[in-house]
Amino acid sequence: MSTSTNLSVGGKELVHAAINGQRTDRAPWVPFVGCHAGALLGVGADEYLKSADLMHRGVNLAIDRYQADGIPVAFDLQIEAEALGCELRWSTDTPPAVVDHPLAQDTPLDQLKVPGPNEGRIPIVLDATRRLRADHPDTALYGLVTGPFTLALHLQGTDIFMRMFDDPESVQRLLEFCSDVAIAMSRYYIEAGCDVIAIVDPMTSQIGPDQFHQFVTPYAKPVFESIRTSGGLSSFFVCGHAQQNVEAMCQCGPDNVCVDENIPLDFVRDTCRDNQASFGGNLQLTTVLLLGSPEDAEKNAVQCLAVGDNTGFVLAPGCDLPYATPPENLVAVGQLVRDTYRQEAVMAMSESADVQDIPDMSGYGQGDHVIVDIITLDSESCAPCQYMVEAVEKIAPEFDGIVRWREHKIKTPEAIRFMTSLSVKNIPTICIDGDIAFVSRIPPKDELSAAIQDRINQKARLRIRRHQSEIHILGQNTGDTIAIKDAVDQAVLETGADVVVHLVTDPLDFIRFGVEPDETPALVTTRNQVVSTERVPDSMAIKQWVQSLQ
Amino acid sequence: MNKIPVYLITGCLGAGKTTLLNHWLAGPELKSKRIALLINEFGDLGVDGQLLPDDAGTVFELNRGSLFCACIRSDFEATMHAIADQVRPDLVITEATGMAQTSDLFSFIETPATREQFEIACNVCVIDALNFTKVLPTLKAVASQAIWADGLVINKSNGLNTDQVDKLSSLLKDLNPRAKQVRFGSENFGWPFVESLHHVPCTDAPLQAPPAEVVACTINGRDFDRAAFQTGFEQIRGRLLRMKGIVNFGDGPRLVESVFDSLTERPYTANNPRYGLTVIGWKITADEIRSALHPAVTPPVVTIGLQ
Repeated sequence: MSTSTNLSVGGKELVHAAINGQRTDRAPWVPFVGCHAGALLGVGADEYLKSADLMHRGVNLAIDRYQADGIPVAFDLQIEAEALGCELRWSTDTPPAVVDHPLAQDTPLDQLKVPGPNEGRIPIVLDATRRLRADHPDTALYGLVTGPFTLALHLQGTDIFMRMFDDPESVQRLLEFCSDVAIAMSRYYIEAGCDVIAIVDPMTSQIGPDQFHQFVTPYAKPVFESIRTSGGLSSFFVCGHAQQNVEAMCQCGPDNVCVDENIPLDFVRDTCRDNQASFGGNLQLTTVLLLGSPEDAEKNAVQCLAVGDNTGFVLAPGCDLPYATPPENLVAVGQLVRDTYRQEAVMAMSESADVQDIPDMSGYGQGDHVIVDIITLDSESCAPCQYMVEAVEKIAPEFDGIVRWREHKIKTPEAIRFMTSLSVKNIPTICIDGDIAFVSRIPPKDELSAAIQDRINQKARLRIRRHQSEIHILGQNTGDTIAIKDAVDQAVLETGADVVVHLVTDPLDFIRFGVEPDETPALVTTRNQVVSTERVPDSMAIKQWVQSLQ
Repeated sequence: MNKIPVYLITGCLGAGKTTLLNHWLAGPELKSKRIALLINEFGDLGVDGQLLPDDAGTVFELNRGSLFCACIRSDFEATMHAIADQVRPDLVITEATGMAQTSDLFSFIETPATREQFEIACNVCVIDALNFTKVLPTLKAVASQAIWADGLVINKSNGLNTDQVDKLSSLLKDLNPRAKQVRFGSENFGWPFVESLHHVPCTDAPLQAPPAEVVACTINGRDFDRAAFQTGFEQIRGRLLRMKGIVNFGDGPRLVESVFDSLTERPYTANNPRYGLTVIGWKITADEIRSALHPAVTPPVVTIGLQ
């Protein structure tokens, strides 16, 4: 069941509005799919990140599957570094790692040139961008560019931190060069069709605000100015413990600031709003998206959406999604952003997480009536809940006197306890005699009717089985035993009794009935009452025993 | 089931973590142990494979391009599980990236999923004596690692005189009074030192910025009056960690450098020098540093507006 609130507005338009700080009907959803798309295609990150075809197919798949409003073309902060001569070590399930640093190997800075659009893997990503642009005119495409500070670290190694003291001038020249690279890369992405350029500079989380102002701001600012001049939108992505720098990030002039779970989202919202920037984030990558369930992802998303308040906010993970992220977790987020009822339900259910005294419902629904429970948010305010209640209400007269139905609005602690005890996780849900029957789907009349009828039949069968009697005839497969069997069958036929007759010939089983092998043939009734041993009883007597079982 | 002890080595890239690890592995104490190494570093591995017991299968390396963020956490946890399932070692030694804050590493190891199998035995930080004070005002991780260490191994002290090493030691004592200190290359920095440490878990949140007591500032200017500079330097020398830059006392560009309270200078011969001083102080404000040194700049630095 989907209750889209934005049928007329495309994802791209939503992303544009949110990044421009406007109020939107709902928050746009931008899953940061990088090498994870390789997992969707069943290929390793090392293969995926080297192929325009795979990126094109993988991102296409992710857009459709996750209902993305926006998406990065690639998430690989080593593309520029590789084009500038850094050696990479490739892995199957992570982006590559930079393993050597040309400037630390005595390559002078003036030998490095800003890479052209055809160097390294840049043409691959640009090719994928153009193809995706053609396929998805209504989806916002993000071009991810390595931030100047992080690129400088790739080129120089961590030695750069010592040089900040020993030779700050050389660090500043390097950062100027990295800034030029970021400006060029931004231009290539915009020309290829990207809507948003994200400057991804995670290494800046390592430093404090003083150093940020000195070594980041002067080099990031021109990049954001250039993106604006080129007609693109911009975002500043920093993951890690970067809370101290959020204000300084805003002051670099991006349209949007995006962070990960290490920074409280409300802090980012307030700081960004004070500085006229929109914001984004910060679904938890590991504990929720990678290791959690779809319910965990929904709960986390609802918390982020509440902070974002549909105003200048983009819902996104804080960083590159891990390769092995379970797709169902991202599917759940894609559905949730479009379903306000589901959001309300998840919010109500997250409040129920600490409910105590869950009743034992193992004996629920064993009475004569069939009980239909409808777990709703509130049928008076939630349309899908209302339709589900009406569906049950409409059909109930057909089962008058047999079916009882009730609505449980999860706005009360009792209803939440009830819902939890039946393991209901989605709203609305129909349970029949305590078993979950229809989840977030209004059943057609016939289907609901059939489900209830099935339960009625099931109960009737159980009732009959409970009342059914049994006779066991114990003995070797000899004439006497067969004679008893025949007499019993005849008596059942003549009396019309509801009795099942079993022949037990294995001596090891005799003992179960308290009969020794030398006491056979024997006849045992339902209540394990041994009524005859070592003889063939009179057929009239058998008939009386059979009758007594009714 | 006994938990597997985890020994953590932290320290800046180049501080000597791998050398220390190789020293421990070469010692008699670890010879008979089954060890798993978890190397969380970019760049060369550098561990001497011949020192490893049994086989190379006991070395696990995290390799992630986006090493700097929360993404590493999942790799870390997955690797810890692999170590517990496949190797069942007597102990794990983790060599952390120089960029990691200690609180993060602890949280990676002590997740609900891994804390049943592992426990942190201790946390040793290698201090690069030559460079520690240079990066202290910049890198949060460097401060975090020193502050939360159970033991500190001071390395690369050959480039400093005894007095300077003592001052570094006292700075470290100030940052982390409870950590046991030992000098690299001394008799007692082997495995018994590690075993003698008392582990205290890191309970604080990650640092947002380098310690407030550390301050870095720049003194802009080309021409300096030597006498005024000497006077200013004397005022602040007890609170200086580092100072470096190029100034002209009237006889051409000179490279001025100070480590703690020592002061050296020599002619600077390269072309187009960039003049000015970078000063790192301890328990002093940037304004106090400026007030001491600005009078030496000629013409004097004029501050416009309210301070």
